Amino acid sequence: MNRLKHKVLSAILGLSSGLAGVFSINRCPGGGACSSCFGCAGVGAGVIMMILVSRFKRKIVR
Amino acid sequence: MLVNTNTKKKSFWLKYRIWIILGSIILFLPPLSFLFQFSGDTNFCGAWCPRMFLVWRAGTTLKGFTLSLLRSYMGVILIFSIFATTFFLGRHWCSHLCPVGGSMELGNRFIPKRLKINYSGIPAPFFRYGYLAVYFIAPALGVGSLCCNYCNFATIPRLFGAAFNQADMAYFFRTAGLINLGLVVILGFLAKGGRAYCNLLCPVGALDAISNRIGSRFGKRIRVDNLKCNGCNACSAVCPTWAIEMSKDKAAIDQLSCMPCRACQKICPKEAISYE
Repeated sequence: MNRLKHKVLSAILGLSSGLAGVFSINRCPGGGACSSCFGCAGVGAGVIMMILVSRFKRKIVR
Repeated sequence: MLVNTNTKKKSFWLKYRIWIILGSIILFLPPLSFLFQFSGDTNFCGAWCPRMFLVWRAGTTLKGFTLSLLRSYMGVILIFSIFATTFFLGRHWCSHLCPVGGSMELGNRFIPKRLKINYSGIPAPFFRYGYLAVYFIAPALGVGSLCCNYCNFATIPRLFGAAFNQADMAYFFRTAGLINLGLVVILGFLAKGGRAYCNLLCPVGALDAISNRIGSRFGKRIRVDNLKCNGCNACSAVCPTWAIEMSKDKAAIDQLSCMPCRACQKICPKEAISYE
């Protein structure tokens, strides 16, 4: 993957991580008080997944 | 094995860096939290918040924005002091004074090397500013906000306070706390260098990096003397923010990622790296 594509993909993954975080918070039914419904967990975990995909994508692609 | 034969006297900031970080942790974090007591707070979530006032939410009036600045007055003073000193002296807040990043880096030192994840393959500035774009744009559009919910300045103090305070301990038994703890563990304690969270997700660090980059022509920074550099790559291997790349067989430091931790200066066998 050439350097420009790598950088653009990283920027997109950063954006995606942020959006995953925002939408995980938007799914929260408790407003500011967390009631551990795990409503955000699946989407919130996407933030972690995006970062790990960024890290391991070369191994995944291979 | 590379042997650093650097015989130059070590600067104060290099020699006592770990002690400075520990001092900052004592000043800011539980159980002592000395500095917060001056404003009647117990943590960063109040007058000392360095992030929330930066964000303009949809529907906020100018009066409302001004009130948020006044509410977080210590955070405003802190942030603009950080940006001003970074412009002239480099990112010493991030490398030496930030208790949040410093805690993750110190905790990282206790993790065995084989368990650490190397994030240096990610072009950090691009990921970081993609994330920062959402940090600012989402609240302005009324879509939502990353403030508070994914805040490292809220998570680390609670991690320290959990041993002393039930409310802080309870935070980590809730979903929000678990996700934040996961981010801190995977990007902090388990990251090579301990600074992946700082380098990828911290909005304060992202803005400070811009100040660092713009001011690099005017102020002191960690720089490489190309005449002395032999391209051994030792500096790149130890950089916690993967700010150093080899360009035409010489080390090149990206000032958008560099924090002057001086790990590269310490390891360089040719004394090619200096703070000037």
